[in-house]
Amino acid sequence: MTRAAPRCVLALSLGLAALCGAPPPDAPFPEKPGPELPAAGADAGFRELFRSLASRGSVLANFTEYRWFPFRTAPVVLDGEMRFSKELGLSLHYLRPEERMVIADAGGLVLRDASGRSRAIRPDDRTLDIGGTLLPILRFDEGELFRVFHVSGARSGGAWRIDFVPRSAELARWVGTVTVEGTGDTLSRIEIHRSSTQRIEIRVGAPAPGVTFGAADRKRYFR
Amino acid sequence: MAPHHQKRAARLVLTAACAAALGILWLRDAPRHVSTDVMDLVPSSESSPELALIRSLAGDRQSRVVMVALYPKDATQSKDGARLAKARDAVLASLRGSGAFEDTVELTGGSYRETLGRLVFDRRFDLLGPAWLAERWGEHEKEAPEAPWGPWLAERTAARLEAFLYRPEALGFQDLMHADPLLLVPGAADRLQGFTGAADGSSPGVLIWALLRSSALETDGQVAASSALARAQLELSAADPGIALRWSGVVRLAAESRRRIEGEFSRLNLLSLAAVLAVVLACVRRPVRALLLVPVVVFSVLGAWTAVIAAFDRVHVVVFVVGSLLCGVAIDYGLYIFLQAPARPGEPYAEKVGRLMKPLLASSLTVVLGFSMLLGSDLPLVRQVGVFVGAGLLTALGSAILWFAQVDDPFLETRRFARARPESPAVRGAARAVLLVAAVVALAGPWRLTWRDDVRDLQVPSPDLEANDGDLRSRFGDRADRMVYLTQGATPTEARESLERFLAWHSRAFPEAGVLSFGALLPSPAQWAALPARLAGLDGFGADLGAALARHGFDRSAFASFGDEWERWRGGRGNAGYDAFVVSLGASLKGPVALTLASHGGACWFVTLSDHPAGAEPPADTRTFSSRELENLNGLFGRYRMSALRLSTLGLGIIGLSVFAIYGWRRGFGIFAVPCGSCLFAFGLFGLLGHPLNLFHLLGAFLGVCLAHNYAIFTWESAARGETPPPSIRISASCAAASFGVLALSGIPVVAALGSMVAVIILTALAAVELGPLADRHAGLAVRPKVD
Repeated sequence: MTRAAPRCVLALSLGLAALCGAPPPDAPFPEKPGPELPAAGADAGFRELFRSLASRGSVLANFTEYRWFPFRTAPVVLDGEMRFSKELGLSLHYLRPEERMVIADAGGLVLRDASGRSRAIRPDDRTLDIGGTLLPILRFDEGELFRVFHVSGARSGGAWRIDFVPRSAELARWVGTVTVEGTGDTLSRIEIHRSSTQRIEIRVGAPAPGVTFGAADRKRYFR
Repeated sequence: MAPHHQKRAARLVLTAACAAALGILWLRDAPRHVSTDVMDLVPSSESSPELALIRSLAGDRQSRVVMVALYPKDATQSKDGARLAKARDAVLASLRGSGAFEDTVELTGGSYRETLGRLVFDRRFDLLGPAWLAERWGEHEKEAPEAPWGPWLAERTAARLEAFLYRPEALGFQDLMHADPLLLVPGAADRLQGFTGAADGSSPGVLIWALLRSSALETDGQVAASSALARAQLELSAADPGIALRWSGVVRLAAESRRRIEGEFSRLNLLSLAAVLAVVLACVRRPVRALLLVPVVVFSVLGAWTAVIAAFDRVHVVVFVVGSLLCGVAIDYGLYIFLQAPARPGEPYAEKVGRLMKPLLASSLTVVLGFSMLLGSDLPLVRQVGVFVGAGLLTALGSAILWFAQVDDPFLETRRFARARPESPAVRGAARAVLLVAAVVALAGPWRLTWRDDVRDLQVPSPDLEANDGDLRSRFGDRADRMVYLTQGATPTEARESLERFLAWHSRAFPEAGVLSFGALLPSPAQWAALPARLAGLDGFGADLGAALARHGFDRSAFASFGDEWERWRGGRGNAGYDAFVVSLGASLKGPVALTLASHGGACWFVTLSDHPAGAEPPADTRTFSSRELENLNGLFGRYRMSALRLSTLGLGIIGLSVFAIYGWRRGFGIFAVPCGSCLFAFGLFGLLGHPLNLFHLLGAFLGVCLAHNYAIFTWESAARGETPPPSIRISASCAAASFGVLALSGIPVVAALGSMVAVIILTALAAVELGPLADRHAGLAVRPKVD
């Protein structure tokens, strides 16, 4: 019955895509999760990767989202553009099949329809704070990531794959496993995997270079 | 009658009367009839909907709710979930084991949310189906009335379901969709969220909502609650002394109010008696003999108690607190008899009483007659005060006559200062100035009066507990800027129809503000009534829907369970009545949401919450009241005030007519001018001070007028005999003023209101009868007639 939780999952999973570079469609990403990383900074290679991803600036990119449901024979596909800023949070602007916006930031979630009418969902201590829990992934905050998740890492040449499994059983029930893949300092694909029939996959287009959000963008696309 | 026979007869009558009174109190089990429930102050048959609603609320689950908050004493440990969980388990086990509560729910975990969600899901067809079908039927009639209803509905359902998958909410409901392809639950989830959401996230800790088994307004319930919470506190301290427990609820406030009122009762009665005795002892030459007045007061109070306990089944304790004024009033007649010097040496008591009988009867009976008018009030409190004062005064008169009949030498001489009457041009000038100022106040002040009644003034304020209650409510999500509306009806059908009108009005009056109402989730009676017709055309809906789902890319086999449930509901619902449905639903609700719907005892009401500041009040046809109005009942008490004003005016008119009938027009006017002028002065004084008045000021004014009228009669009687006014008037008025002055110190606002009003009127009347003759010594006294 908690609706904030899946919204956060969706918003933040798409937010991760904001950090992606151009996704090489046939990139040789590792197919299976690697070994669990024991602690933040324990693996020098991944420590550098986290630092590199965390230092990225604002992002604007197109994305395509695939949603698999257990009662559908084919995934549902949505297109849009997303914006990410460390200060303002994440804004997902869905364009197809219908216009809609989901904004995730420190204040919770905002759902905005095509007419501009907004509805805020504020996290509280009675609902699972999935947004607050997954935010470290969006920011690649290494210390916080290892506190909240079991983290596994695998590499294949320049490509890499990181799997996050929430330490909280309740969070794990909602989220399942979050997998992010990339090459070098670009993140190319993200998947939230609850089961083989319940998962979300996001593929992100090439990010626009040197993006800054002006006052008009802030007003329109953020809280 | 020979003196010794007279004494014996008087003692016999007094003893018999006392025995009878005590017997009545014992037989009636007097303590059982004394109540601290505010609702006992208002009529059980009250027809005003807001009061019926309040009565229902007070007697219902709302009043039995207890809020408990657990949190670390050290705020830096607020995120320590394991400690809090252990503390929660200890407290919940203690509360559940106490037997004092019929329901305990932890709100901070997800369990309550899930319980509520499961209930809505399980009853989704009855609860949400009728409105869903009505909406789809409306679309069908508008878009394709010629299309067969069943196949059209199946196609529309599949299309809506497919569109829903593109919304963010779809991910949260994917586990339910196979059983709810109509999307009944997702449509209701938004509207339910406010019931499971809580305070802002700044309140770390555990919140427990509990429902008492017994009434919070009865002693048993109060003792059970406080014992259970005290035990829980002890067990929590043993489990983890670092976790604090705070609790609140109507039960705690009511228990404290009862304790304080009972304290007031004892304190005020003792203080009042002490003040009266102090005045008397200071004014008489043989103070020890003044104690002979005490039995008259005791008899009077006993008579008043007996009458009111015999006449009413429930008597609010405020009546007894107000009744402490009798100490000051009942002593009047005793003083008048006891301080009256014999007309001649050796004057028999019967002869003395005989010459005093006219003013005694005139003052007593007219006052009793006036107070008997209060018996016509709708308000039990007013009727009870009328009986209490009327019976008390009659008893005071009778017992004073009888008591002094068996006392040797029934005369008590006063001290010189109590009889002193200074006369000089300076005094005359000052008296005139004072009377002139008083006249200005009496004429100008009343125009500035404001009136405000608040039922909460009947309670003794408990600032600490109220602050604690406010904090707990805020932790539980209650906010001062949130409006709470209650919509009622005689039946669930009527209440739901009223709610529909209210919601329509609210959306026009506050278009930007959303509402939270479990009642709004319920189908309307019209939708319920139309359900059989809507379902009649859906014989093959299950198969139609399967085909439509397949066309829209769904795996139809995943929805098999829905088809079975749908057919079971459709075939099994029969002709269930709307009212029975709402009653059964209300009974199945648990936790806070259960407080938003009640249906029993011939009344039903719904609670609606809305986030906007106070504004326009709902129109009458919505049968809806905001909590603001329900908290103070100003409108209702305003009507009672007008009723009391009419009765008081009628009573005053009767007193005036009695005075005119007994004393003639000229003297009658002189007598009647004193209480009326004093009353106007008191109103003027409060008006000029900007002090708002309430129903109890009005009752006080009526009582004050009656007492002032006594002093005027006694003064004129003395003047008629060519005597200076007896000192008993001065002492009696001082006693009454002291007695009511004590009441003005009460912590109960309405008692203080009544006391201050009567004290002001009495002192003004005393000033009038004292200063009038001084001011007009040569020209014919304003309040002093020519001696016959």
